[in-house]
Amino acid sequence: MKGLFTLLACAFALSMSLAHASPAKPQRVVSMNLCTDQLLMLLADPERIASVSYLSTEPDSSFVADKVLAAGYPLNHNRVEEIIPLQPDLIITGQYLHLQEAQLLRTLGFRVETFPVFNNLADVKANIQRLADLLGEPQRGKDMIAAMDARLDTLLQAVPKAPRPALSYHARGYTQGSNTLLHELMQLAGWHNIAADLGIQGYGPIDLESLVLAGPHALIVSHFAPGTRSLGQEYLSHPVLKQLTDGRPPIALDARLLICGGPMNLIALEKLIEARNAD
Amino acid sequence: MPIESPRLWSQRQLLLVGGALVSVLFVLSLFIGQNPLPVLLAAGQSDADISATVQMIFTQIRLPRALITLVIGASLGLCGAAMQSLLRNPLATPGLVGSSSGAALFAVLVFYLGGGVMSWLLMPLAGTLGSLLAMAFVFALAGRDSSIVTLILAGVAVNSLALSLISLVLNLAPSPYAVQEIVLWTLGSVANKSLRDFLLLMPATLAGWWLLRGIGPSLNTLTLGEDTAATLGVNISRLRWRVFLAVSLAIGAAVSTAGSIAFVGLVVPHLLRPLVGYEPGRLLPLSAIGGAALLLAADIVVRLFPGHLDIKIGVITSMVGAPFFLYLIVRTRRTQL
Repeated sequence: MKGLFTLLACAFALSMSLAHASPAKPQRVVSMNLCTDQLLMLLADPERIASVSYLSTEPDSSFVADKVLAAGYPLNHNRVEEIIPLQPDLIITGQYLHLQEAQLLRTLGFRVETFPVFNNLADVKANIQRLADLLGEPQRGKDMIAAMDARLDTLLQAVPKAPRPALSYHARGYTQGSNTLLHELMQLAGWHNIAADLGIQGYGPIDLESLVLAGPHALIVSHFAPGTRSLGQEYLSHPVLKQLTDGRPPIALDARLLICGGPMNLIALEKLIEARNAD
Repeated sequence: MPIESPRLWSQRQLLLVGGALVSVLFVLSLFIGQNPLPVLLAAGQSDADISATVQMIFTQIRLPRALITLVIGASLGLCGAAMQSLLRNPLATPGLVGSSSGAALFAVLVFYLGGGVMSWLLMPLAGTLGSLLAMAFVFALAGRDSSIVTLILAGVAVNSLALSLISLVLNLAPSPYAVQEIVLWTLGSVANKSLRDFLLLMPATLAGWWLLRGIGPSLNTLTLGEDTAATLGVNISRLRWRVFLAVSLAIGAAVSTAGSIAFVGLVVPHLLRPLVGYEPGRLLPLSAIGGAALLLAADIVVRLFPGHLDIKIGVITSMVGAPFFLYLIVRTRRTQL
C-alpha cells in the first residue's frame, strides 16, 4: 500500500515537473540562497534576475556584493510573501535551506529548483552547469568551467611537491576534514590536511589538545564574521596556536572565497599555493 | 551560642586535609585530559618534539584550566559560605539570589557589544557591578530578615529577568555565533582558557577574598541575631555591604571568566558546616578549599568524556547540586512546620 502511494507520488511529481519545465529561457529568476545568488549573478543576463537574497550584499560573505548593490536588485529574505509578487518563472535555492518555503512555493505552482551542497570542485562545476542549463545558457556554463580548468592548470604548475601538514581551524573549534572543498584545495596546494588523518569527515570539532598533538605546520583560518566577537571566535586567539606555529600567523582566507562554490574558490587555492611557496 | 558538636578535627587539621585533597585533585587534573599521557609522550618522533608538545599542552592548555577551576571553585565556596552566614539563610548563595546572573548579564553586555582590549579588562568590573546591582535589588525586594521563601522568590525573579536580558543581548550581538553561546554563560565552562584568562580573573578575585579576610568574628557574633550582634558592637550595615561587595568582586570575576557555575556555593558550605561546629568564621576558609576541590573534581569528570563532546562543567555541578537543593528545601520545610 505504502509502495503504491510512493509510486503515485513519484508519478505525480514527475508529471508536475514535466508540466513546469518551461522550454523557453526563464525571464524572472529569483534566488533565495547566497550560493545560488552568486552563480546567478555570474551566469544570467542582468535583466533576467528578479531578486537575490539579502545575504548576497554582505561583503564578508558574498563575492558579488558590489555587483548586487550596483545593480540594485530587490533583495529577498527567503519569505514566501516577498517572492510571490515578483511572479518568478524560476526560483533557485539550496537543497537543505528554507525547505518549508520551497515546498510552499511549489504548492503554489512556482517552479523551484534546488542545488545540492558541494564537497569538491567537481560538485561546484556540476552546479554551475546545472544552473546554466536551467537558464537556457548551457554554453556560458561550459565557458565558465573551461576558464576555471585553465586557471587551475596554471595555478597547479607552481605547487611544491612535498606536502606539508596543515589544519583548518574555525570558530568554536571546528575544522574541515575529508570530503570538503577546503580539503581538496589544500591537497591541490601542497598542504596535507591532518584533520582527515584524525578521521574527521566534513565539518567537525577538534579539541585544542588534539590539535596541538597533531602538530600542524600551518593553520588555515577563514573568518566568517570579521570584526565581531564571541566566545566561539575567541578559540582562534588562544596563545597556544601561535606557539604551535612558531609565531607565524595563520593563513587567512576570506570566507567569501569558500562559503559557496564558484570561480572564487580558485582565488582561495591561489592564496593557499602562495602560502605554501612562501613557507 | 553556636551549637557545640563533637570536634573530631581541629581547624588546622581540616585545612591541612582539605589542602592536601585540593593539591591531589589539581595535579590529577593536569594529567587527565582529552589525550592521556602515554599518547602525549608517544606523540613526537624525537625527544625535542615530545618535550615541546607536552610542554605546550601542559603549560598553555591544562595548567590555565586547572588554575582557573581552582580559583573559581574557591570563590564559589567562599562566597556561598559568606552569604549564608551573613543572611543566616541556608539557601542564600550567589547563584540563587541573582548575583551570578547579574554578573553574567553585565559581562555579556561588555563582551559582545564592546570591543578591543579595554573590554577584556572591563569584563570582571562589569561582572562585579552586575552582581552588586542584582544582589542589592534582591535584598531590597526581599527585605531584611526575610524568610527563606521570599528571598528565593526574589532571586528567581531576578534570575529569570537577567536570563531573558542575556538572551536578548546575545540575539542583538553582531557576531553570528553569539546566540549559541547562552549555554556557556548559564551553565559555565572552563574549557579552552588561557593564562591570559587566568590573569584577568585574579585581581578582582583577590580583592574580593581580601575583603572577606578577618570577617569571621563578626559573622560568628551574627549567629546570635542581628540585634544581639549590634549590641555587641557589630556594625551590621557595614558588614553587609562589605560582604556584598566582596562577593560581587569574586563572583563578577568568576562569572566573566567561566559563566555562572551553579550549586557549588550552596552544596559546599552545607557539607562542611557540621565539621566546624557551625562557626561561620571557621567555615569560610574551609568552604573555599571545599569549593576548589569540588570544582576540580567536576572538571575531571567533564574531561573523562570524549573530547568532541565538550560537556559543560555546570552540568556536573548541577547534577550534584540540584538534588541536594531539593533535599535542603524538603528539610527546611520540615523544620519550619
